[in-house]
Amino acid sequence: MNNDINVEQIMSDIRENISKTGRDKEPLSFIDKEAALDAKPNDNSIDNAVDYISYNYEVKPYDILRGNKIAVFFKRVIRKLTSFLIMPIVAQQNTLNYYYYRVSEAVLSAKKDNEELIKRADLLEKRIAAIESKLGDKKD
Amino acid sequence: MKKLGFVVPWYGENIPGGAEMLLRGLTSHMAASGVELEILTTCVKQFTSDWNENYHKEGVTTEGGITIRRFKVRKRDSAAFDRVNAMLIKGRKPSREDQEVFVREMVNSTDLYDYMSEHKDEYSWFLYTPYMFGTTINGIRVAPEKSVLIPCFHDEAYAYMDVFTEEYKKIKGMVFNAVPEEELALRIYDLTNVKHKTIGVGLDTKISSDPQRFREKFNIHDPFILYAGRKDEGKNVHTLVKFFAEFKKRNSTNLKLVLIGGGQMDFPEEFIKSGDIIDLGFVDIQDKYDANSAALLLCQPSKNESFSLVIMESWLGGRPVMVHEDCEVTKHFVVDANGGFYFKTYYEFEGQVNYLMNNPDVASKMGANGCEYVKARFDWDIIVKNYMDFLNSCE
Repeated sequence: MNNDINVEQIMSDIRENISKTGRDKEPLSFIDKEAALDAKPNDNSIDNAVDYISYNYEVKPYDILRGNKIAVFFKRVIRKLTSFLIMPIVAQQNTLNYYYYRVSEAVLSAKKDNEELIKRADLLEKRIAAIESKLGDKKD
Repeated sequence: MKKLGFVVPWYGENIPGGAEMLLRGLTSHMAASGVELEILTTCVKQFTSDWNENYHKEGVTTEGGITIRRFKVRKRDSAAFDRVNAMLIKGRKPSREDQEVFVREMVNSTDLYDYMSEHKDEYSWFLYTPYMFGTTINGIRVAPEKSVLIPCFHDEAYAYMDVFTEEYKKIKGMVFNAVPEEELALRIYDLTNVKHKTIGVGLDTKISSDPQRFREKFNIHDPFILYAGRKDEGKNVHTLVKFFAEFKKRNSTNLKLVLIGGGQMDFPEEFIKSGDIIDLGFVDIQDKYDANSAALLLCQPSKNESFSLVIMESWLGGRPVMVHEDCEVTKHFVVDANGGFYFKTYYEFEGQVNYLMNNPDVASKMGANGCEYVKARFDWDIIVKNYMDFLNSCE
């Protein structure tokens, strides 16, 4: 057997390379559930993501037209001519985005509740341990 | 040593299933090496049949040079069994009473147990497989001192039932197909007084393959990922297809995905049209061996394998494999053999495929490692010898 090969080491190098080149930051055309599962509940990136969605869920169909006067004129004409096609899509997308935003806010809220409950459970466990310890002392 | 009696719920040449294949291979190779053995079974045809129906005639037959003794099944209360089984499928542990219902109302043969009780002195050992059937637990209850179990355990609700944990700690030996299975058993069962060993599943390692023959016969000259096996959700092949489609979108490459084996699946139409995904369906066994040696790698994305012959066959073809991280068994083999990678996310999949494409020497070394690993452990001669040594050590 070729002992000069260590598959764990090669896989670790591959993972490091993925992270270094930022390949894992490029969005996929599907939701990779396995990767999504790796997102930890206490990961700040979830808060940041919800923050980003809250500011950017509305798609803006208009932007400042740049270029010389003739270019701007033609761009404006094209925009007017295609608005009947673009605007309903934008409206639909905005509605969808709004509901995504509502869901993500709900997830964030549930996450915060969960964190609070964990803290309270920890506190209660400590109190129970202290009471048990006192009871043990009395028995002795 | 007197003869061996393999006790199984059903037996037949062509019936599907991992445990069934293991039994056929093991018994035929043991018999060929001169071990005296018999199959003790019921008249039921197979797992998917009605367990109340005596498909085969009762009595003694010889099939493939092996003596088969078939016994009529006891009529069962299917409704009672189904009620408890539904609980187990949902992952719930039934009450002790319901567990007894489960083992009593599944496939059982009183005639078989009576025969075993009357004739147990004629046999050195009774070997049972798999662990959850009535013939196994009730057979063991007849003669635990002569019982060796080949359980084929999975981490599932059935394995945790008290009826099994209590009964199986009384037997003489347990043989596993892979180290993670043995580790699982040690977590669940008290094997203090049970000899146990991981031996594995045998396969024909004396095979030859010709990659060029495959390329020419199927006109596939580009590098390809091979998937060999049934195409269904349970095998997680849809993840492989999804990952491959994404890989093609993100990487400029002539890599293809070639699938061999049965089952139906919907593939992205554009990839079928472009010839990037090629489904060959069932192929001859020699074509399968040739495909293994022609592939860049074999991908086994299943999360629920108890052995995986296909990765062994890929290694015999000299090629590396990629398996899913969530499958303890295949992951163990890959790391133990230094014969490939395991992945979980798309990004890992992409990184590993690109690595194997860009490092052909390392890929070949991984395949060679795997080949050596299989030949040293899973050749039928070695498996038969290990089984016989194990049985002798149980005496």
